[in-house]
Amino acid sequence: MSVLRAVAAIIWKDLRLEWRTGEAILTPALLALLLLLVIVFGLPPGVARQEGVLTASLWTALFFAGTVGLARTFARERAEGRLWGLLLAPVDRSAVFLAKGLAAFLFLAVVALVTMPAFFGVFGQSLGAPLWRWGVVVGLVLLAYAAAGTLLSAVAAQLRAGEVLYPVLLFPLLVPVILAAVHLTDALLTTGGWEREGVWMHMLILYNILFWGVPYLIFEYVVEV
Amino acid sequence: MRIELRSATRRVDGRRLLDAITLAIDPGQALLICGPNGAGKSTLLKALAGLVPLTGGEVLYDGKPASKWGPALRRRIGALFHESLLYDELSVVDNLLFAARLFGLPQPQGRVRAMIDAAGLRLVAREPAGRLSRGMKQRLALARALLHDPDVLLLDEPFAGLDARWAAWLADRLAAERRRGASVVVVAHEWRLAWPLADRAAVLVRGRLERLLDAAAWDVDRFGAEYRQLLMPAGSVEAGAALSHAEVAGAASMGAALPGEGGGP
Repeated sequence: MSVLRAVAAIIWKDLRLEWRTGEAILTPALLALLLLLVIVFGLPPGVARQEGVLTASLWTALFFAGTVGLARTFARERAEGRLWGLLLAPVDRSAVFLAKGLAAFLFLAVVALVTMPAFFGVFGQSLGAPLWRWGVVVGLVLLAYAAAGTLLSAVAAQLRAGEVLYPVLLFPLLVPVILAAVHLTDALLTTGGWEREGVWMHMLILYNILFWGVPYLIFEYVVEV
Repeated sequence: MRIELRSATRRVDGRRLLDAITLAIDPGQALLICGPNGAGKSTLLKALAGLVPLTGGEVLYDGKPASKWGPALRRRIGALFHESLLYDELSVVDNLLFAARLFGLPQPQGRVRAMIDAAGLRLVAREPAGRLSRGMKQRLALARALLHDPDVLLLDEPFAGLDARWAAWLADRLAAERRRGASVVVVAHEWRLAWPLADRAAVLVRGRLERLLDAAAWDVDRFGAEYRQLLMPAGSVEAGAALSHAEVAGAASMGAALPGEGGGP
């Protein structure tokens, strides 16, 4: 019960901070939309409607834009010793990871919700699959992204050049998630389901279990100085 | 809550930040820790709070190693460090509400309101913490540390930035906390302000506990002279700077150095 209470308190605090700063939603959403413009301007005429272009553009923009907010997940806690304040809370320290990860997922979900319609509109594509299937695929991808991003943000916050190194360290870790996102999105667009790419769906679920479970167990050591 | 350090040692890259420190603080007692910059005072406070691990020795609370307490111990600790632990973008109320919820206090709104009144922050309650003056921000950081009625108070430079009125408020507040049974550890460069509160005083130099003495048996000026004697042989610029900073007000009244080996004159 105390873990849930602490998780709720930290998410509440992060939402209040986001309301004041716009670092985790507004900036990544604007960046994703700018990336959309760059991609559209960079593509030769007529290519935009070809198979695979929407998928590649969408995930490139969401993954790159997402790092802007994710990198701040723990970097923000480093200033003024705020991380000490969180670690002094009378709960298992894993609650801090859980809360920061869930808050990061919420922010990524809002960014996706705001930017995805623009991508579908610009590339002139219809959903091709029921909305709930899109919700499951995008939700699982963003959950995996949030878990890996939060863990690495906690590690990077302990390093001198952590914020610079963050994307360089993060993307190799995300390769399986990016591959799963692309395969499953293509499957949704072309077949209306993920059955054809079941192996990627299983991989994505496994990745989530691993990247939420292991950091939850070892977080105490991750933040130890 | 009784706090005990047994040969507490912390080494980082071969440097001894804390060097086999042994001392104890009984419930309701206050310990003043002073020493020059880099003496290990802040590291000692963070080790007591369980925020930095020791590489040797141990910290015990009520006779039980801190490592065996788990999260329940943190519920009983209130801490103020050099860093404010505050979110500059959040208002005074939100900063305290967050702390109250994190500690699971019942009726957090009422508790926060009472603490805001006590710390004289009512007029700026809706202001972001980043817009407060130095003294107000220090009062907010103190309010955060005191919010959950901790049994152990670990305070790093609690008087920094406070004017005379609020320094007196803090002294009264800490006296009340001690009467309630809280153990208080105060790190202070401006040790003269904290001296009246202290039962005992410890002098750290380069991570070593050079003196641990009974404050009641020492006159403040005599302690000043002893302190000067302890720091000057180190011969560092840092030691001289610490002395001139902390003792400028009382330098004229300092008498001859007193002999003394820990525990009294």
